[in-house]
Amino acid sequence: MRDTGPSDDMVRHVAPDGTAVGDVDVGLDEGDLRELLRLMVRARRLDRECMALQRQGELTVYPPFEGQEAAQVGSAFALGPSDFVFPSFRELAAAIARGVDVVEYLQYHRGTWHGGAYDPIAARFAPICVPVATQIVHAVGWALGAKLDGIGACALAYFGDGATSEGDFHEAANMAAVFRVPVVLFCQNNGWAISVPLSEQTAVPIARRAGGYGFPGVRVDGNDVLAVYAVTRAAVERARAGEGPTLIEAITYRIGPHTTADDATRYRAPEEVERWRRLDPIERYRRFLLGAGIVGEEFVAACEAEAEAWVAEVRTAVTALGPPPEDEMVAFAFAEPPTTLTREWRERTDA
Amino acid sequence: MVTSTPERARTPGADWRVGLSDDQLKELLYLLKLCRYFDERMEALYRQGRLPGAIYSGRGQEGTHVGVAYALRPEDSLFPTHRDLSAQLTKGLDLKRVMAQYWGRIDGYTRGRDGNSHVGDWFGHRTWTVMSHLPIAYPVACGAALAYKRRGEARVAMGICGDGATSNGRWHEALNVSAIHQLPVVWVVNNNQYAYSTPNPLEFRVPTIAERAAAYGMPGVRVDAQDVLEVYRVAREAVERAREGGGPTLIECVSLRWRGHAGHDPAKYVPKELLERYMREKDPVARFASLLIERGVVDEEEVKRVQERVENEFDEGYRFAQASPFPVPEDVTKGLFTDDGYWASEPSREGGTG
Ligand SMILES: Cc1ncc(C[n+]2csc(CCOP(=O)(O)OP(=O)(O)O)c2C)c(N)n1
Ligand SMILES: Cc1ncc(C[n+]2csc(CCOP(=O)(O)OP(=O)(O)O)c2C)c(N)n1
Ligand SMILES: [Mg+2]
Repeated sequence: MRDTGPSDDMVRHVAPDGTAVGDVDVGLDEGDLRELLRLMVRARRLDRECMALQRQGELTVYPPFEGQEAAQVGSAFALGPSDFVFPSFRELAAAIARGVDVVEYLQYHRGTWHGGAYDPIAARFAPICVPVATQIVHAVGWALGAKLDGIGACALAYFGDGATSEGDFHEAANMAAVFRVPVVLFCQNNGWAISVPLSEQTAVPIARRAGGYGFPGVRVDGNDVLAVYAVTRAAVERARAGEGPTLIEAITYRIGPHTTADDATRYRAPEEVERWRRLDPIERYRRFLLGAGIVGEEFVAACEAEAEAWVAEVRTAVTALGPPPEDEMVAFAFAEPPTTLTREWRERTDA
Repeated sequence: MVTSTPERARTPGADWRVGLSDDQLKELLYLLKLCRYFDERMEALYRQGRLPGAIYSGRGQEGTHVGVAYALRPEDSLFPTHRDLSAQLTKGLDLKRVMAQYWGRIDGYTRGRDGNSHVGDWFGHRTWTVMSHLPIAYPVACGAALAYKRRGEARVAMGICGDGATSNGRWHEALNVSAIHQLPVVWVVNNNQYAYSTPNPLEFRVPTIAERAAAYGMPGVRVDAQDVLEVYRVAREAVERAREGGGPTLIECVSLRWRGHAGHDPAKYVPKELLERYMREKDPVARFASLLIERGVVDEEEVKRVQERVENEFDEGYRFAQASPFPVPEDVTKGLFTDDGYWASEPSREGGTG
C-alpha cells in the first residue's frame, strides 16, 4: 500500500486525547494559548453559520472547513503583522486568525462583490483564489519581491492536497527554491480533492515532494494546533533568515462536503468521517488546556458564548448586504475598461 | 535511486558490450555518425542560406539520443522535442523524408506543412510530431502509456525533454500521473546543461534532476551521456521494467549542448573551457568509435567506410529533397480538423520545385 496518509513521522505535541506527547512549550504565553482556543471556537461557529446561511439562500455557495481549524489557526498565528497570506477558497479560519473583516470576506460568498471587499494589502491577506494552486505562484512572486525589497517579511500560501498535482505548484515551488524566496508552502492535506482521494493524487507523502526542489518538507498533525504553530513558526523564521522555502504538509480532514454544492456521502464512507470526528482539533486542544490547568470550564463556556454573539452580529451584517453597485463589474475589474465593455455598459444604462 | 555511470569498461567481469552483438554495435556506430554528420551538414547549409527555417543542433548529445531510442521496439512510441532529431532517426525515420521536410516538400513527413523541426512519423515509426510547447509531449506520452496499459498492450512510451523543460508544470503533472498509475513510460531528460542561455543552477536547486524521481515515487538514474552504451543499458532496463508493469523511470542523461540554442545563437554564455573540455574529452561519437576499434569490433578502415556511407546518404537525401515538389496551395486546408482522407491518400505532386 502507498504510504501517503497519516503516519507516525508526523510532528505532534498533543495526542488526540489531549495529553501532551511532545514539548508543549512552543514559545507561547498563556494568553496566546487561550487565544488559539478562542479563535478556533469562533471559526467553527462561523463555519457552521455559513453552512446554514447558504441553505437559507443567504450565501450562494460556501466551502466549509470544519475539522481544519487547527491547521489554519495554528499556522496563521505563527505569522507576523507584515507577513502576507495567499489563501485558496477554504481559509476563512485563517482569515479570522489574521483579523480580516469577515463580513467583507463573506461578500464573496454572498455574491455581492467580486473578490471580497476587504483591502488585501492592509489585511495582508490576498483575495480568495479559486483556480487551484495559482495562489502559490502569487505567493512566490510576492515573496521574491519581499526579498528584493529587503523588508524581512515572508509569504504563506495555503493550498490543498489536490493542488500539489497542479503544474503551478511545481513551477512555484521550483522557483521558490532556485531564488530562495521567503515563503511557506502550507498544504492542508484533508484527504480529498472534491471526490478524488489522496491515493489518486500522489504516490508519495506530499511532504516528500520538497526533496525534489531542494528544501525541507515537514509532516505535521494538522489537528494539533500547537504542533502546527511550532512547525510554521520554524518555517517562518527560516524564511526570514534567508534560508528559503519550507513545505509543510498538515494532515487533517474535511468533515463537511467540498462545498455546499457537493454531496460527500456519494464518494466516501461514513466510518471514515466518524474516525476523523474523534480526532477533532478543538476538542483535543480544549482537553489539553483544561488538563494543563491553563483554562477552566468557565473560559470555554465564555468563548462559546462570545462566539455565538459575534456570529449573530456577522449574520445580521451579511444578510443586510445588498447587491453590489451596478458598475462595479466594469469599474473594479479594469483600470481602463476596454471599449467593447464600455459600449455595452452604455447601451445597458441608456436602455 | 540515483546511480552515476560506473566505469563499466574498467569493472572486472562487467559486460562492456551490454549484451549487444557485433552487428548491433556497428549499427550504433552508424547511427551516431549519421546523426553527427547530418547535424554538421545541416548547420553548414543553414549558414550558407541554403536551408530555410531554423535548426536546433543536437550535437554533443548523440549519446543520449541514440542510446535511449535504440532501447525501444518498433511498436514502442517516442515523444521528442525540437532537439531530438537524432532520436527520431534512431527510431527509424527515413533521412530522405526528413530532409524533404526541412525544405518544405511534399515528401516530408508533414507534407510540406512545416519547414523544419516539427517532424514526426506517428503512424509509421511511432514518433510523435514535435510540438513547440515544452514539455507538452510529456503529458501526451502519459496518455499514450495510459492507453497501452488500459488496452493491455505490452508497449512502452518514451518522452524526452530538456533540462529547462523540467521547470514547467506539465513536467510535474506527467510524472505524477505516471507514478500514481504505474504507467509504462520512460522519462528521459536530455540535460545539456542549458535552456537557451539559462544554466542548470538557475533552473533547479537540487544537485541533479534524477533525484527528483524520489519526489514522485519512481526510480531515477543519472547517466553520463558521453557513453552511448551506458545510456542504452539504463534505458533498456527502464523500458523493459515499464513493459513488465514496473512503472515509470526518470533518466537524466548529462551532456553539453555544443552549439547555440538554434542556428542564430552564438552561445557566448557557455564558458569556453567547459565547451572545449566536452568536445575534447566527452565526444560520444569519437569515444564510441575508439572503443569499437580498441575492442576489435571494427578497424579504422571500417570506420572510414561507415563515414562514407553516411556522407553518401546525406547527399542522396539532399538530392531527393530538392527534387521533391512543394505541396499545392489548394491542399492547405486539407487534413487539418477532420479526417477527410488526406493523410491516407497520395498527395498531389503538381506543386513544382521552384
Ligand atoms: C485549476 C482548477 N481546476 C479545477 C478546479 C475545480 N476545483 C475546485 S476545488 C477542487 C479540488 C481542490 O482540492 P484540494 O486542493 O485538495 O483542496 P480542498 O478542496 O480539499 O481544500 C477542484 C478540482 C479549480 N477551481 N481550479
Ligand atoms: C512552454 C514553452 N515556453 C517557452 C518556450 C521557448 N523555448 C523554446 S526552447 C527553450 C529552452 C528549452 O531548454 P531545454 O528544455 O533545456 O531544452 P534544450 O533546448 O536545451 O534542448 C525555450 C524557453 C517553449 N518552446 N515552450
Ligand atoms: Mg483536499
